[in-house]
Amino acid sequence: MSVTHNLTVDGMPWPANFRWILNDNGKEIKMKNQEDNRVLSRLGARELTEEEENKVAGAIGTATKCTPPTTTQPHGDGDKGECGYS
Amino acid sequence: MKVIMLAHENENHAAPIKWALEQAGYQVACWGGLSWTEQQQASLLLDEETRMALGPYSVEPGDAVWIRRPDQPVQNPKVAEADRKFAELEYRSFYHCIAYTLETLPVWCVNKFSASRFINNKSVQLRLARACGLRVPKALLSNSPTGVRDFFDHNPNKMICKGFTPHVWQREGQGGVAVTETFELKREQLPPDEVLTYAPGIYQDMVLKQFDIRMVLMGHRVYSYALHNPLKALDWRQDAGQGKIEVEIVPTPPDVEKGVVAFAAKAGICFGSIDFAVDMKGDWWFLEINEQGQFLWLDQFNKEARTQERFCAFITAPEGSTEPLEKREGLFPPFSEYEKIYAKLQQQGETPDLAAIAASSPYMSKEP
Repeated sequence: MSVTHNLTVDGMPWPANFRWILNDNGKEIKMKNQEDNRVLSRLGARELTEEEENKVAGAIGTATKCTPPTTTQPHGDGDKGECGYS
Repeated sequence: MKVIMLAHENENHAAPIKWALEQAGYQVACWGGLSWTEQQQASLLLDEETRMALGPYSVEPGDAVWIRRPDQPVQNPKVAEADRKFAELEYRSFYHCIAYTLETLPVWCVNKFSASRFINNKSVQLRLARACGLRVPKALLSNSPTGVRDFFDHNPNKMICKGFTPHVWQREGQGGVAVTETFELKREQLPPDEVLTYAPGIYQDMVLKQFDIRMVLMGHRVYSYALHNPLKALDWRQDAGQGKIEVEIVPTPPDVEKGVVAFAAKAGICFGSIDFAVDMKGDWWFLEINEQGQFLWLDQFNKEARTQERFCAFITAPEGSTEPLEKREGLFPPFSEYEKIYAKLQQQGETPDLAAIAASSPYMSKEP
């Protein structure tokens, strides 16, 4: 997807409630549809391709911040841990 | 003396540390947390003496207990629906009894459960760090649209947004996942007010950084590692997962070390992984601490990091020992040796059921 800094959608070929937001890292923060009611952290999340996902899953997985459950870590963080889940 | 790990044997840090300790002749027990299954049942006898059994293991005086990553308490799924909520709360209360009682027994907890629950709060971290003389970026934790907009309106600096907890969204059908990470957010990028109420967030001054630091705290000792990311991503974690960063051992500035040791004392912790950002002037900015943060990946990137050997030396030393860990690190095999074993295990392994994992995990969701 080419990078554009249009922050509003007037005149764009998608619905009026469809917005693209970009940051300086070139990552799209996509608010696809406000009816989706998605949280801001989802809009700013890093999209991993299947290839990238497999690369993480194929390693021991010790680099993940918080061991979100993946193919290598099915148990998550339990009752406590760096995630602050308690 | 044995080392009891509150984690499953296959947890990504428990497995290599258990292996390394056993290679050096230490006894290790892994207990995955409280559950209805026999291996994860527990008993706490309070008589003239207190006795605690975690699955098949007795907690004995002198043991070291690494509260790594136990499961959330799990009740028997056969319990009547009418009793389910009661059973859930009973399991949770009993687990808390176990975890808090551990720190009253003559064992060494890494870390004490009370301290871990306390310091896992981001606002507590930032306040204590600032009180201990560490540089801390200005931050707002909020779900108030007015508060967030006001924070942006009165702050000329670049800003970031991040969550309190990590999360993974797995796309159904088309493959691929989305993973939470820190991202830049500008005033004009703020979404409609209601979106800001869908989930609270952390909004913080962005540190314009040269590089990141992952520091590992073990007792009174700190080990610092610079993380160089050629992609200059704001959040290095996913690039680390992709093997795209470089890890360099660096000295810790004395004022930062002093502040971290004071921070640990105030927080009541003896172990943790701490993130700093180093700005263009070379100043270190405290970002957060993960008291059970990942550290073995540092060894994967730089064999001289030796966090596996040092952690083994740390957890088998007497509580409060000030002896340099380097004196005993040679007793334990390096992580690179475990990697060879893991490679063989992986060849024999089966692919887990991702859908079942996503359904049962609080950190993973499916999306269309």
